[in-house]
Amino acid sequence: MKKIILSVLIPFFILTGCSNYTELNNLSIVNEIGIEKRNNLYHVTISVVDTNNYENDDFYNKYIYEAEGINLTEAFNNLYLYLDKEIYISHLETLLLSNTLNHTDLDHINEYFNNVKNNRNSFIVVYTDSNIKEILSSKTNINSLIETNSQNYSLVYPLTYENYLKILYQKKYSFIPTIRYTDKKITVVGYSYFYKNKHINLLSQEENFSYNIINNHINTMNLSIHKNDYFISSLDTNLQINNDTTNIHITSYIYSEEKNYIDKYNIYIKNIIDHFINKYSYYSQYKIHIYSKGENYEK
Amino acid sequence: MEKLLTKIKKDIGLSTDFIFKELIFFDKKITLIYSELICSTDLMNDFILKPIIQIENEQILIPDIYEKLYNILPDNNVKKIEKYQEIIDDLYNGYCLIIIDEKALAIEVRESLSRGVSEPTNEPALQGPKDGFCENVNTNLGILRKRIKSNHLYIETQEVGSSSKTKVGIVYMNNICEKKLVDEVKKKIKNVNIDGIIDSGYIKRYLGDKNSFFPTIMSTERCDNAAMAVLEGKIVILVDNSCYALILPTFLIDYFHNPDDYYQKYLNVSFIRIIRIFAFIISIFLPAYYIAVTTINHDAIPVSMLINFTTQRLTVPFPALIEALLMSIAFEILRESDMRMSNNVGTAVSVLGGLVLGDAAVSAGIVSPIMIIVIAISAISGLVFTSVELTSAIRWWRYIFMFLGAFLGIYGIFLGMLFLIISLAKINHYGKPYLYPFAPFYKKDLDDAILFIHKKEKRRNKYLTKNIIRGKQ
Repeated sequence: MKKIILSVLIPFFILTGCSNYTELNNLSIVNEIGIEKRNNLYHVTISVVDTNNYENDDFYNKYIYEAEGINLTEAFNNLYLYLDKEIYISHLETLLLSNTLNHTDLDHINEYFNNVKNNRNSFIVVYTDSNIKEILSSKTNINSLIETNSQNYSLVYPLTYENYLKILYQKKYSFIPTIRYTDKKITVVGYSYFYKNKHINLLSQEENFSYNIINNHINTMNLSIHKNDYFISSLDTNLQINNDTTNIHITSYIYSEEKNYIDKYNIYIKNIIDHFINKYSYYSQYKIHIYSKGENYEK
Repeated sequence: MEKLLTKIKKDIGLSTDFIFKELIFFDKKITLIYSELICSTDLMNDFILKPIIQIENEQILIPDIYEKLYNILPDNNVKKIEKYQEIIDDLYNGYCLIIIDEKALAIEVRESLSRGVSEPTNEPALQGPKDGFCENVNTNLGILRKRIKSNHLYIETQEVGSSSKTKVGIVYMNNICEKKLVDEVKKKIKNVNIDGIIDSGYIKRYLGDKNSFFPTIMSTERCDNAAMAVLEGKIVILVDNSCYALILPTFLIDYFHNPDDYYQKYLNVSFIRIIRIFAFIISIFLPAYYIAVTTINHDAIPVSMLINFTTQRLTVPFPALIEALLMSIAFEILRESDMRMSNNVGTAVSVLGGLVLGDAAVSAGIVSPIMIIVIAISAISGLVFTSVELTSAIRWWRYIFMFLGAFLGIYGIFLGMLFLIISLAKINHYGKPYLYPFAPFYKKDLDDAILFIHKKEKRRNKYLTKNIIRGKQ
């Protein structure tokens, strides 16, 4: 009797896993998705890795597919009019949102990605006001572009979809890295400010810098203050929460040719951060304390 | 005497290797009976015929030839036969019988038909002694006696097998080994009901745990390994006509140890043992993990690796599980044929199998290159262990995990891991927990488990013996 029960139960438990079984060759590995709105229809553009002509990790050939629909589900389903394999978005790297989307559309997009199969929310969100198909067709990998910028230029910092949702639901605003396609090149232009999923404006250079400082996103960067160059080799921001106020301690290691540059730097940083906080009501309960360390270098 | 001789001839039957040699000794007829196949003619000449002729030449009247011969024959193993059955047993054991007036003497003149002490073939010693057991149980017992010169080393023998009457030696240290364990082993050997014991493996089947894939009795060719086991409080069983000694009881961690570990530096040995653990894990889990990530859990690996695997599997018509099974079975067939082939042809077959079949299979699009790598690495990792039974157990579990990985993905592998640990923990051979010292956890015995830590005071396994401290106490 025990053997009969076991011989029934074991295949039952094992074979139920077959529903998830998919061969690698039956997957379309999507690494970039672009969503825009055209004529009240959702227009989805995906970039699928070409596994037949895979060259190396830094660059792989891709196919671009587009489809439209009344809602996102229909748009993605319509992709199967062209795709011969199952859409696989677990390794999605970038979600590109167009400026043609309004706040309701963004809500729908969030709802769709929260319910779709195989979604890991580890991809980055990027905003653009250019043509999505042109961006996705270019050879530049958007994820790598944002990462490299963050490490070497610190204009923007990659915003994962998971963090984007967290900030959105907690604080109702978001600062999304923005790119633009001009002269056949993709350029990083900074952050776009969204409030309750509504696009408000693009941040200025100083505002980008302020946002990155407060959120400890500065690695290394060259800063120009009144035509003088400052090289920030590292910047560490420390938030100390104390009852209803929070102190921001900023410690920078900077190099400059100019004499007495540390005071100038401190004043500059304080001013731009004050301006940023007041303009965006960002961490408005905070008191700011800035501490900077640095060294002079010779020409 | 004629009656006795007739009875012996009847019991021997039609075997033509038994010689009946009649001699006249002081006007009395004595008969020598021996097997020319298992008795040494040199020993017979030196220890039987020459002394008999010498006595006769002395021309001294002997009242009792039987007693005279018993006392005078220069062989260390001369015995008087009390029962008729002893005559038949001794004839088949290489004894020469001298029949005098319905009485018999048995003199051991056995020919050495074994190959002598040589280097172990399946357990090469990198740094330790190179003598291995041979097929003569007396020689093997002597090798152990030579290594452990203690009055506490007990060697007991039993005869097993109704037809083969194979001598089985049970070796243990009386002051270390548990009496209960010794009694249980002796009882089990006594209860072995079989016509013939050809090798120690026959005994192993009766003494081992039947419910587990994993081995609970170790077979070893190395004398140092057996001596070490005896000093730890284990029992070593030596079987006539077998060059493999059995060591019991064993723990899982014993199969990750090698006698050479104790002849090297502690740090080096610790590193090597960690490598062995990795080899064990890789051998069991790697194919299953590969199948799981390529069929169900695609998100478990980076995208570049996923694309790489996809590119390699483009032309393969089979699912990953079938591909893995095909390659595994091909490897096992290759290994089996390599073991059976003679050395002259074996190398060519290995090259044919490895290069041609592997390369040709990839070119033909039957398997992907990555699958060959995965199966090869897992198979080679399994060959790190000298125990054939452990390698077989690893193979079984590898296949089980492959099916679990194919149907349930990484979740299935974790379920399988749970079952594996439970089945290992369940093994309680002779009352000794198989996963000791990890389960039950005992920190003091961990210094010789995976990492080899130098301690001033050497200790024995507390589950094997109460005499824990090694050395002078």
